[in-house]
Amino acid sequence: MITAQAIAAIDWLFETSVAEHCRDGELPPCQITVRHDVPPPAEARDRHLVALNISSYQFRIAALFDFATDRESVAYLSRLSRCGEQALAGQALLDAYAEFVNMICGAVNRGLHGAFLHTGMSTPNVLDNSCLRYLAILRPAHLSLLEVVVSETVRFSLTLCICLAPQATLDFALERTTLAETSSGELELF
Amino acid sequence: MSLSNLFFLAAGLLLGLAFGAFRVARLKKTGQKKLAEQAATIAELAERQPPDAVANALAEVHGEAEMLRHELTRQAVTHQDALVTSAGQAASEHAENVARLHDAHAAQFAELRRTLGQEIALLNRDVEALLGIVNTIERWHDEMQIILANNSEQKKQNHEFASINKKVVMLALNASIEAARAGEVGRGFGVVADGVRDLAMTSNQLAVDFKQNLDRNDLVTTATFQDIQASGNMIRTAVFGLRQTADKINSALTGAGSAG
Repeated sequence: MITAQAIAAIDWLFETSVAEHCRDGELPPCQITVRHDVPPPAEARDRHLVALNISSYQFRIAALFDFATDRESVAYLSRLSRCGEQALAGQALLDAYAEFVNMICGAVNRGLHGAFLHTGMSTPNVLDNSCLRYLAILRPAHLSLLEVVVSETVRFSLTLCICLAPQATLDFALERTTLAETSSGELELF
Repeated sequence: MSLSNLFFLAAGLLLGLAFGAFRVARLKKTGQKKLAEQAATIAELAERQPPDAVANALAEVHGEAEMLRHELTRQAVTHQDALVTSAGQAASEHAENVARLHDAHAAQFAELRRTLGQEIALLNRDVEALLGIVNTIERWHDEMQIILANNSEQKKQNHEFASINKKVVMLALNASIEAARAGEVGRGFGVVADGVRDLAMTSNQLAVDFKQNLDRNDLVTTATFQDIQASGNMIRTAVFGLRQTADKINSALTGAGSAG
């Protein structure tokens, strides 16, 4: 079982981290809408699903970022990555998405240390967007969907799939302070 | 002088005489009482010791008191000496006990240090071995990459298979049309073409189902591996914490040993 305050704490961590890492110095702050237990976005072509996992002893959070690959989105990511727009294609584009996800989840992982002594984070992996249709196979205890609107043309979504160990209860609260600054560009590699 | 006056004069003299006699009797009684008291006092004083005898007795008492005071002073000095001697013995025994206990504790501490040192060495060995989980996770990572690559290859093959199926459907459709044009002669060929198209459409549905299964495989494989990888990171962090604690204990033991 997962309590309402635990869901609120996890949502807040991701919401804060996404808002923090979406600042590119040009656009106004992004708008984030949080929805619960809703079906994931419909399958669409030309999108990348980047998955990353945060684990503790009693629970894990599979974070699935659904990014577009259109010109505006790539330009936005280029500004965030501080590299030329032309450079972001193919594997470089995938790496940039992976680093963006890694930084967001890294801040969340550190934020979880306020409530849990030990947590760990995986490296990001890129999947087909169609995999989102089969989240039920992970038997989630709770699903949160964060719809992030960066601008009129740039938006992405984040599905949080919270899974619990059998018979486990997840109940915690966090002090709502600013998340620790992340060290820019640092990938948590194994 | 008349008779009445004489009578009154005689009566007055009688009253005066009576009053005087009463006063004389009263004075006599008081005097006798005082004489009796004086006689009793003289008798009591006669029974007492004379002043010289009292002075002699007092001198004896003073002498005895002085002797007692000397005796008490002598005994006090003796007791004081005995106390000083006892205190010295007690202090000496205490110092010996402290030294003995110190030696015993030092021996126990040395043994404890030796045992803890051995245990910490074992703990460090286990910690270093546990950190080898990094290699295990890397092995799993490589294997997962193989699984994902295999899934990706199967998706490509399945996509190609679906593409072929679509072409077969189109070919079968064209064959059916040509068979219809041929009339009665082409009837048998038309049946075969319809059969081929049905088979191709069934194959196409299988390809769709197979792609869905591959998507499920990708998701569950990736999620499971990521959980293992993240848990491995969590364990590694916890083991680093243990190693730091072991190092601190080791430093404390070393410092305590050098201080002792």
